[in-house]
Amino acid sequence: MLKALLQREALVVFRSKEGVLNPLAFLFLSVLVFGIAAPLNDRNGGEYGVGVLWVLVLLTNLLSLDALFRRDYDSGVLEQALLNAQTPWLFVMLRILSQWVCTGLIMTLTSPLLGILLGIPTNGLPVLGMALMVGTPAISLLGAIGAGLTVGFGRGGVLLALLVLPLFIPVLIFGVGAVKNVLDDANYWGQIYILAALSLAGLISAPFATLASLKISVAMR
Amino acid sequence: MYFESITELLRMDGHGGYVWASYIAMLTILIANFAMARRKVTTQLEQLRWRRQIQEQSKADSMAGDTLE
Amino acid sequence: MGLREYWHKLGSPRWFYQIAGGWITGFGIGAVLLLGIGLIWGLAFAPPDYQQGHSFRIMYVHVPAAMVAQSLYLGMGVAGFVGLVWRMKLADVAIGAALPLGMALTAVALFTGSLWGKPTWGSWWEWDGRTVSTTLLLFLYIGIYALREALSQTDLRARASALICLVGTINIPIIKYSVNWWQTLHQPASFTLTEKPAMPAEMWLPLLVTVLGLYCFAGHNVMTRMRGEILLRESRSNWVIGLFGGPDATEAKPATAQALTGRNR
Repeated sequence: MLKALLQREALVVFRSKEGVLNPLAFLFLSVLVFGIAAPLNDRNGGEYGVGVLWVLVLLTNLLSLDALFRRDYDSGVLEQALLNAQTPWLFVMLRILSQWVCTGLIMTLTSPLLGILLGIPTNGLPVLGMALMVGTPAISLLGAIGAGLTVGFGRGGVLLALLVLPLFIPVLIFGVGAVKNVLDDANYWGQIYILAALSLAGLISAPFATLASLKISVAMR
Repeated sequence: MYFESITELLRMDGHGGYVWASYIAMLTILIANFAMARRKVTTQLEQLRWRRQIQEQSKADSMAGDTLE
Repeated sequence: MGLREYWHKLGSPRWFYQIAGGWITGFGIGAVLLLGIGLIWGLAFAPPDYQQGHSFRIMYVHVPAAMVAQSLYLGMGVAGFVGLVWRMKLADVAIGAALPLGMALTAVALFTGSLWGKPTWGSWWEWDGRTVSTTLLLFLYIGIYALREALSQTDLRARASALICLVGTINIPIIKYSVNWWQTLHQPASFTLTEKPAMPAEMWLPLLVTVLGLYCFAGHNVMTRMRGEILLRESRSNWVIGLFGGPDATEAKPATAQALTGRNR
């Protein structure tokens, strides 16, 4: 069961290149747009760039989350998974995991490059990567609740943003705070721990809430 | 009253505009919400009353029809 | 009467409709008296602040609006929990009734806060912790409102908004904590349960009166809206028809034993 689901997710992630490429391309393109509109080098010693990067991370995630359950919903796979699978939350968890791989993980891996583009000093880059690594799961998990609820609407994008962006604020604050602290030579572990705690709390509670929201959306069909 | 005169109450040493605007905003919102809630109930009641009337009317009509036959 | 029985009755729209009448009258009288006394007291009789002058009188509308707006959201979260766990229809009626007032009062709190900020901090808008978390509260309200507008089926709307109210309520403390950590410029809370207020009595007493008055208003307003919604949803049921002298009018009289059993369908 687990193996079959894992295989499916792996196939979805690696077969469809757009799943991996689109969020990344969007992120780099928005960084480019920002760099042109408001040149970022050396502004506030990199603090401005940190803020811009985290905002773009949130927005990229929103775009990707909007599509999280859409294909499965339209094709009816979601309905089957919720009805037939012995552990529907496993299906949900793996879906969120693969969304995180396509956004959070890739952002973490490319964060040194993004950081340089945004004028973040080199000593901030490892902490930036760490903050993204432990903070982005919370975004994917919380966002999945909203994505499950809005998947039934043809165009749920704006509503999804309205529902989940306020919930992302803590991740944004501590994510930016961690990198700011390292740039100020202050201790940043507190923020990293809080980000990890947020992700952990999300891991425990969000799949069940997502499951509940998906059931509502399936009933809407 | 703390203030000597009405003009002073309105002026409040130059802060009158801010204070009065706040109070007026609050009162407007309260009155609007009161009116909306009230209308919600009265429309329902009116509709139910109207439906009741129609029912009685039709009952009366059918009874009138019975006596004719 | 056992607790369990009471719980069942609470879930009955008919029972609620009947008992709400008395509460609405009581809250209405309380609201008119307390708000009338408190607002006039605060506006014209309380002494000015030695630092802020008369602009501090905005507190008498700003603080109650913010407090009641937060309480209403909290109430929606509790209703959401009840709605999700016990599938109580009345819970959704309560959410729908608390939403407009909560949203409006959050807007009032922001607006009056801005009016207070100009003479006190020197600007209409400061990126201060509590200002930002109140703005986020407004957007949480707007999100639920938009979700409810987008869903037309009553049952699904109930489940969806119950879920999102609960998620929002759980997140509010985290959001508030993080935003507070982020920046704090605001004066500390005017009222806390554990400490004595720092203000003299002639300043906080009118505030207490307006806060209580606005809670009464909220009770009156939410219960009235709930009554309207119940009439709309139950307009085909016998007890509602009975309210207008229908065939079972005698049965629906509130004082009869049958009306109190609560199992009306």
